[in-house]
Amino acid sequence: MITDKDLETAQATFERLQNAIEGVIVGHEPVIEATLIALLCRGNLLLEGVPGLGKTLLVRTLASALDLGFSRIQFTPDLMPADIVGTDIITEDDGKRQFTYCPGPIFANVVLADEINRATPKTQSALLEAMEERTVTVGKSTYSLEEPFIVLATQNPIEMEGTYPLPEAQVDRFLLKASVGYPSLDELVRIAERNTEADGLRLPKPVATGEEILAARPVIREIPIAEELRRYVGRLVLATHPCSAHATPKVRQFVEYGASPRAAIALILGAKAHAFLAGEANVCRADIEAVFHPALVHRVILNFKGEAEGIEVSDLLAEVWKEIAVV
Amino acid sequence: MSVFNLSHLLRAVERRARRLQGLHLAGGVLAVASAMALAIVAACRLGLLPLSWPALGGVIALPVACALFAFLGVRRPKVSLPRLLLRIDQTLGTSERLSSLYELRQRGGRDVFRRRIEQHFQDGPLPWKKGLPVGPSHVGPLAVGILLLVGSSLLVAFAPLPLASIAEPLSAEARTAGEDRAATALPEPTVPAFPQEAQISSTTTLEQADTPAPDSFEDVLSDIWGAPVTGGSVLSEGGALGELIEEQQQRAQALEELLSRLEEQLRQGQQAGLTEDERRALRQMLPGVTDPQLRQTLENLVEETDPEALQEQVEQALGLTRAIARSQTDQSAEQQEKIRPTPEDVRESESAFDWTPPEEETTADGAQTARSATGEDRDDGASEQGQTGRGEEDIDSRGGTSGVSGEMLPSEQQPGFVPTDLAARVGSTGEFDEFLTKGVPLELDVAQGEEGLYSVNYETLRAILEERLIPPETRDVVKRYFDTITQGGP
Repeated sequence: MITDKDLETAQATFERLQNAIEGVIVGHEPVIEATLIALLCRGNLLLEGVPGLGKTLLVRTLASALDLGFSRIQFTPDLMPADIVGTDIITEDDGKRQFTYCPGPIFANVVLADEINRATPKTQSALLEAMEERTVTVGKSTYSLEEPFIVLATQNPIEMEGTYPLPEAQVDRFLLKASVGYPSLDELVRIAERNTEADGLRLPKPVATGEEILAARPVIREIPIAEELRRYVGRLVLATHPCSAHATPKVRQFVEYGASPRAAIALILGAKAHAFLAGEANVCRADIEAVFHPALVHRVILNFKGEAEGIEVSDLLAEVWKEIAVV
Repeated sequence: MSVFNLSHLLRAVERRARRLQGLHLAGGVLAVASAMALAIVAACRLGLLPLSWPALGGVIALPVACALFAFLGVRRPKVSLPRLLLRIDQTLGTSERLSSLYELRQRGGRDVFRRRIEQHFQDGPLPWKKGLPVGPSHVGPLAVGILLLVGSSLLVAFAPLPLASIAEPLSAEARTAGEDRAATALPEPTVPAFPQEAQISSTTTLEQADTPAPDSFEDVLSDIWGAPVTGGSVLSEGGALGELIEEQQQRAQALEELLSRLEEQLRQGQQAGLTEDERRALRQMLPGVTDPQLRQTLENLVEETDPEALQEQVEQALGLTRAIARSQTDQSAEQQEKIRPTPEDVRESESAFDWTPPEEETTADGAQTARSATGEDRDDGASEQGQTGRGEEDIDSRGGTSGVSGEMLPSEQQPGFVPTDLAARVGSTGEFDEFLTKGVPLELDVAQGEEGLYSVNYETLRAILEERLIPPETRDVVKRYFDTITQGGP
């Protein structure tokens, strides 16, 4: 049973967290919001953008603001799965040798998978179990990851050389995908100012604990969403399927696979978290709109014709949002 | 600060939604029923559907009753409250709070969120009706239905009354409409107007009359008998002419009653002259009086002020009225009898054609007797007649007078047809050359190098019509009928 105090505490925690991150990161409010939503919803976040836009800094800031374990994995083409999840090594104790499991960098609360698409798909897949089941299996042993656990992966645009597209199964495990764009002139000036004066950029001190994060998660699940809005979310998701009756003409023409049921879950949970962060007590259509694009953009797979004609998934989603009526 | 009551709101929303549903349904029902009522009234006005005044009133009232039943009596499907609430939320911009409250109510618990949401509605009454407005889909069918219903009512109230649904004399408008219909169905007559053309005979070949357009005949016959004629062309005695005669008799009876009453009052000395009401009544009766003498007497009577002269004129008018009434009754009773020719008529016709009674046996030169040509061997005779025979059959089927068979078998008799003997002349080789039926103003002429030509004897036509007391305004229709069958129609 959620009480007023639970709600107020949770909202205060995330308000502090948001302020701490915004004290370091200039601009990128939607990205910060997506990060907090992923944290609230027990999800993972995929950040996409060209190098140098502050993706890694955002994750480091979040880890710093939370009093939680943080690890960073730099994905490279020669990175192996064992380098992520850990491996059994031979240890000697009192002259007796035995295999002992040595945990990899995945064993942390906040994991930064930097430039995840520079590793091979085999290595990328090492994250699958950890991201979904919050467990790691090495040999015959399965190890649980400590909650709260969140993978924040950054990737460069797929067109850049030396990158491997993420497998669909792994992409689907990211709750949201946020695109990190170039800052505006004012934001750029402020970034330069923060990094070139005084002591330079300082990461924030911890403002929230893991327990507070875990306590906030059940609160957002209790936020009410109207039955008709849930049906609306269902129609939105179905509209991305080329064979669906709700599909728009462009979707029928250019889409190979539509969004999975995880997309509907992500939309509703994300909308609830968005309403929570906005201080509202219920989900409205604006909340769904806020998470519609980040929740679906990486889950819609174009067909060959769509790829060949350079169709943008964002444009298709914009059309879907425009066409599907709420009532 | 008002207390937000979700239950009350939900009930009000549901009530309004159901009312709007009912309005939509009733509007549709009213529109359809009113369209049907308008069609029925129009058909009645065109004389296609005989309906009495109470029935017409029922036709007008029925759509309203149906609409009321649809609004009040029909069980409507359950409304979807979540959908309605979401629509209200969208209209009012309340960030789906009403829908969320309903969701919380349905699932129970979570008072934290319910209280927070309800705080948004504490400021004042929620104008939720804006979310469920009475739109064009509700009002449109209703407006159409009302318009159609008003149209039907106006048609009933102001349009000319159909012949079949009233018992008044044929109005001028109706007569004009009937004549217009006949005029559009027929070509412009090549014969001058009836009174001036008594000496002129319009002739045409029988071949031309052989294939008349059925519609034009039907139209003309409809005008004459006041009822549509079907393919069999059975003419009903209960048609317009019969009604007109009956109406004339009724008028004469009314006039007689009025005059009798006046005579009685004058004789008893109850009054010295006519009252204004009596004068008005007499003036109203004047247009219906066709007899010129009676008409003049009545006109004098209306203007007369001297009591003695007045009594004289009343007696005179009463005598004339009774005489005319007797004459009409006798003529009406003898009307059918007059159609059947008397033996003298037959003999007259025979002598007119210089016709000798046929023998039972075939003559030496092969000519058949009239009985054999018109009796059992009728078909053979008709087939040998060629064009003349075909023409006879046409007239027979439409004119109601058998031109071939002098002795119609009982099974061949149709209602309204009177078997009549035929005066005809049979040629030397057995052809059926000429015939003449009584009461039909047709003449068969044989010109040099031509086939048989039929013409209308307008003198005879006028005499027949006058004899049968056909009103002057109807005579032109009868004349057009004969024009049509002799000219072949349009």
